[in-house]
Amino acid sequence: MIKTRSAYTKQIKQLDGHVSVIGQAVVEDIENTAKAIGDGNKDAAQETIDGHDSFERLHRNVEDTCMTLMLLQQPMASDLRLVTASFRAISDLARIDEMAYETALLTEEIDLTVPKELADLLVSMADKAATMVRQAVVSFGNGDVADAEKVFEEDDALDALYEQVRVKVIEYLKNGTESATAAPEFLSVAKYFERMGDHAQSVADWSIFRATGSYRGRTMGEND
Amino acid sequence: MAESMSVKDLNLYYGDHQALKDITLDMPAGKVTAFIGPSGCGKSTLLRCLNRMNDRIEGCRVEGTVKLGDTDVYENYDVYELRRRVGMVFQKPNPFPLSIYDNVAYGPRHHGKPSKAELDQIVETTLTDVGLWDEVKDKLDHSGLSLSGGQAQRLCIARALAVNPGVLLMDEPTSALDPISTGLVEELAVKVAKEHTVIIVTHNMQQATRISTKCAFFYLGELVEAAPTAQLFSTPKDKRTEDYLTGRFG
Ligand SMILES: Nc1ncnc2c1ncn2[C@@H]1O[C@H](COP(=O)(O)OP(=O)(O)OP(=O)(O)O)[C@@H](O)[C@H]1O
Ligand SMILES: [Mg+2]
Repeated sequence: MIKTRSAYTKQIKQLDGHVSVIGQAVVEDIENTAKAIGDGNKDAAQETIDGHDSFERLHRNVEDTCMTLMLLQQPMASDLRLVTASFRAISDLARIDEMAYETALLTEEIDLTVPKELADLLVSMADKAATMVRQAVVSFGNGDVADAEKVFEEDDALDALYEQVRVKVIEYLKNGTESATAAPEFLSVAKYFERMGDHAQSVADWSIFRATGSYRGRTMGEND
Repeated sequence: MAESMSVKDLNLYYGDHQALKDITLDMPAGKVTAFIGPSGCGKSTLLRCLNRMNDRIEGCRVEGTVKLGDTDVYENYDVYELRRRVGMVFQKPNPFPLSIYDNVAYGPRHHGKPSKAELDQIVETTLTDVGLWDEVKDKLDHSGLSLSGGQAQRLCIARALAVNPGVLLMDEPTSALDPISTGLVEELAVKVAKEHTVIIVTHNMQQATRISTKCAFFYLGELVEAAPTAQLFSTPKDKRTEDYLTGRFG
């Protein structure tokens, strides 16, 4: 429980670090799914699965911190933007992590390392998603709008990869070969990575809000 | 009818001490404008310029323009007429040592010559507007001094409103009130602003965010920043505003 103003200032400063820690964990979990799919690395998938509960706890704790700060201290100006943007950004990050977790679970049930050409596409998607999340989290910390905007530019490439997976999966299904059985799973994992990109963009939106007070072009108080 | 006020290039000196520096600010009609800033930054001083209450202070000198609507209130303006059109409510409720009825009737009696029936009507309407009528209708002849702090403040607001001013100035009107009375006065400020522009000084940031649409931050006699309230409190442009709002001053 925060009481005094000096404790408040400390907690505000720590919040920045919390968001960055959560972001780092999410990036690692996405990278683990790439290892599981690309190299059949079971340990990597297991690491993400084992870490899931503690990630959830971390997320809830930081969420609590944001709510407590709002309730007890009514933050204003840059503090208000930090607390509200953190609250929203960590919720996007938690959604991304949930999808990485689901993917890791899936790699335990189904072999996603073959067909190789599909596995390779998924690894590219995971790499892209991880890069976008990393960039969004960095921009959240450094307040650099140009850094945040790079995240939006990356998203087209991720969408294009998803389209490639989709076309390939349809081919496999049409041909009805042995390897077609797992094809639908490839498509759902590809969809996860594609949505991770959308959430990374949302984090980038909150980075910009935190830095400028403007969310998707709308500034508070502008239309009053 | 609500009127706008504006000041331009306003400088004010108490003797050698310059208390306001080059203030230029518009206060739109029909809205609540809030002044915030640390103690001694000149909020009350500026508020007093708006109805020339500083005229009474020895050694006080004002340069620049203060306008009510389009008229400069420092040029050929009848000060009594100005104070009718620009009313004032103070931090400490200061009912006159008269009956509740006469506190409200005081202004209207001096402006125009209303009949007894008209006066009764004004008293009832105004006390109803400030939410005091039901509480005092059976004791209108009691002294205004017999009311509680919160009631007395609403009586003072009624007294100011009874002459139908275009602007109502309020200098920390709730700082001596409990949370419930504070809430009532805030509701009232928002409600009356449509007909009587409200300009309020407050040290309570949440109050400024709750009731004002425009907010001005002052520091050491300067107007640092004025903006729509939500914008000022979420994204101030000046570092001094930022530091004040986040409590990182000094
Ligand atoms: N009558 C006066 N004679 C001389 N100096 C004055 C007078 N009234 C105010 N001052 C000075 O002018 C400056 C601004 O005072 P003012 O009362 O306007 O501040 P304020 O922002 O309303 O502060 P607070 O929040 O404490 O009410 C202060 O330095 C004050 O000492
Ligand atoms: Mg004052």
